[in-house]
Amino acid sequence: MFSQKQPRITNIWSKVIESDEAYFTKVVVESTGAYKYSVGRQGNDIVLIGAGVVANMPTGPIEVNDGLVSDITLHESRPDAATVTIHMEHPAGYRVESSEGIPVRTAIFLERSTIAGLLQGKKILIDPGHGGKDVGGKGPVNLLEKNVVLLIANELEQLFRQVDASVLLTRKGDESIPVHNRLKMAKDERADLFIGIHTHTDNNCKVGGTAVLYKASSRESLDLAKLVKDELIRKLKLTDRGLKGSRKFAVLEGIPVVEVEVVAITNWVEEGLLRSPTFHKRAAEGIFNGITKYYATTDGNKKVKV
Amino acid sequence: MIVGKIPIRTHVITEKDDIVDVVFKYTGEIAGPGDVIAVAETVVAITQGRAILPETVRPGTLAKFLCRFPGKDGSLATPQAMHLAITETGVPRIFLGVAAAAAGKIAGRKGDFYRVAGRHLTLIDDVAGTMWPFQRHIILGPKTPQEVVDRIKDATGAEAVVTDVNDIGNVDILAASNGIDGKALIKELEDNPFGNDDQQTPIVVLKMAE
Ligand SMILES: [Zn+2]
Repeated sequence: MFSQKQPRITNIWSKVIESDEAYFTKVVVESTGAYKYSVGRQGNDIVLIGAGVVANMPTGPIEVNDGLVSDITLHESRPDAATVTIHMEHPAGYRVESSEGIPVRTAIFLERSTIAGLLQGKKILIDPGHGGKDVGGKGPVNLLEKNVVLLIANELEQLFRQVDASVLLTRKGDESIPVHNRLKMAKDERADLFIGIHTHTDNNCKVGGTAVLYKASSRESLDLAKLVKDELIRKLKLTDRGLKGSRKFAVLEGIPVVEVEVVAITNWVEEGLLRSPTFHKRAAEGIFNGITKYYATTDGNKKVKV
Repeated sequence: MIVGKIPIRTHVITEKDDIVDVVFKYTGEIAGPGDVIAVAETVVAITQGRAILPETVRPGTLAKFLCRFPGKDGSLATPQAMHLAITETGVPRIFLGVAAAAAGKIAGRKGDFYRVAGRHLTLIDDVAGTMWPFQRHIILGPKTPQEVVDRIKDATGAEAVVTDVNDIGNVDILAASNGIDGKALIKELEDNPFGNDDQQTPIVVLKMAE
């Protein structure tokens, strides 16, 4: 009979939960029955050790990359014991809850307050490129850069709002705003970062992938660009088109500047990707993770003249 | 009566896998007679080699033209996906679909393209960027889903369905083994126990009361 068999771990998943009172990553281990477990800390990592339970799912790591948890690894230490290791990017408080049912769910709630802390007091200016009669790049079928970058910028704004960071957009609607006005806004608002959102345009429709431009000869901008690009590629798994220094941001003294080219809109496939709301969300998460990583490094926190 | 829905995480399934072997491997100890094994249509199609890299498709002029019409939200918005749809269905039926869609638009109706050109075209998943390592692939609908559920039943002793479920609660049962009424399960799958495409849980075991 089903209930007499050894419990099996059938699935592990995680989700960022955000409400007025709470902000945490919820990691859930699902099994066909209840088993004895203990949860503890190993360095920053959180480890659940289960006894009398076997893995029904493949062992090994599951990528998460939500800014707090990098991955969750299931390991069978003995034939009848399983270990779930949650690899953390930052230390976090946690609590555990189990619920009966089919499947049995063991949930570990991890505090995301560290991420909120990293961004506290920072003012981020997001610049969705183009707008109005300046449509930007055009997809081979029908998408326009000015529209898709706004969708990604809105998702990104949302993520900063969740952690109560101060965040501004250079445009909320389909407006045409000269570039120098956008840069001036960064100065007037005393922004800590300027994040441009664009797509790449190429004559060759086969060219695709993610690239990040940064303010030439600014160490901070280069560091930020590297982190944003790496985190984006971890999320989107697209081709790395590299980092490029640009002189056009030179007027923004003292403010790190990056311009993200999420994909190449002129690529048939990547235009297709830009139709998916899930894709906009993932792109925003990648950029957000890059920025929080930047502030987690000492360089990002030092107030150095750029 | 269903007493639990167990999402089953698997390895990354590719065209090297046999879908019945996969289902048996991951549900053999979990599902028994009377239970229902629900399998997502996308992975059935992937095991049948029906995940296509758009770079390998050469869309013709017709596909490049037609991909502008069936609705920006839906599938078939890339010329490559439209080209595959034309190959699956044939040019005449695609044209009938386009004509129906044009007439439907005048009448303020949606969905006429797929009603006429073929329901199976709604199973074509255009590039979506979500299901690693198939984030750049176009995934066609599965072939012979009835044969698949019959083989799963033979191998596991449990009932089986092949289903298409999306996040907004649209459920389609493509095939059901002979011991169950597939339509009756639609309500049970509306909450999408498969989760998102990237959660690697293409199988759900519906446990029945013993
Ligand atoms: Zn641009």
